[in-house]
Amino acid sequence: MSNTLLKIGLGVVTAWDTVTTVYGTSTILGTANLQIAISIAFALLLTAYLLRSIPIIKNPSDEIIPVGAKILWFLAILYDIFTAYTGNFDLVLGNIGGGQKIIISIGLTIFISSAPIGLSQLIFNTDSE
Amino acid sequence: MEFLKPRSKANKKLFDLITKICIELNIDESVAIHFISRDLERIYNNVHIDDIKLNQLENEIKKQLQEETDLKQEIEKKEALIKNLAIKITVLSASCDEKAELLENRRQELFNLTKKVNELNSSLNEIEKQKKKSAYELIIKNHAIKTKSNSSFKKINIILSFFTVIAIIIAIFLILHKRK
Repeated sequence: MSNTLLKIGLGVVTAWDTVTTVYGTSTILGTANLQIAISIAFALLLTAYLLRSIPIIKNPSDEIIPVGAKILWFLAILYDIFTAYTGNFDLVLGNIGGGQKIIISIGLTIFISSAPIGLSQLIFNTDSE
Repeated sequence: MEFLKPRSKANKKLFDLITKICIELNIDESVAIHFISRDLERIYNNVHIDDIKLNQLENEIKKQLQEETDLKQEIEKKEALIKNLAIKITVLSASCDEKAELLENRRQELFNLTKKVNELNSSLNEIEKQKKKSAYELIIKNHAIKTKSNSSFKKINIILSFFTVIAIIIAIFLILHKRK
């Protein structure tokens, strides 16, 4: 039961991570309708990719596609960190000022960016059942 | 004229020669002896021997001879020492050869052990790789089974999809709100 609750909790945070990804991408691409649609598609793709973190990281194969997937995963997590930071900075901490805003934003970014990986661990880990 | 008395064979020869000369020149033997002795005396008086220098030279020679003896003794001692050292070097060289051989054997043993360790390490890596592969396959298979049979997993999937849809709506709302 607690495992299910944890999954739901991490799912909520992952959903927020998706929001920040859509927002962060739209700040780069622009806020026209097409750009918003692309941002949404990209954010869904990124979230789906991060939800498969465990199979991607734990794949022991040395072939080009699994290795390439690992490199892409690393780039994806970097991009997710960037968008989470931008999203939290603008959307959540809009009214707080100074260095405090940056520190809280970094903390939230770490928490939010690790949520899809944690959820992936819960979904794919055989010991968690 | 005491020294001119015939004391030996050589002196006799000398006197025979004087007698012969006196007969040939037809002079008295005593006259010839007188002149010869006078000439010999003059020669003797002209010869100056420096006894002090002679003694010094004798001492110098004696000293040199002593030094030579000392040096010979020293050389003999050194030769004995060198012989001893040569014997010791031979013994040590033999010991060194023995140790080198021992060391070579140890090196060979170490090489063989390293080879075995490398082989073991390689097989261990292979086992580790197989283990990772098996773990990965287990994750995938387990997930596939869960996806098919577990109803709670399906519920979680539905909830996650719902959250994602909500998230997308919120994101659109926020972007549009910011655009205005």
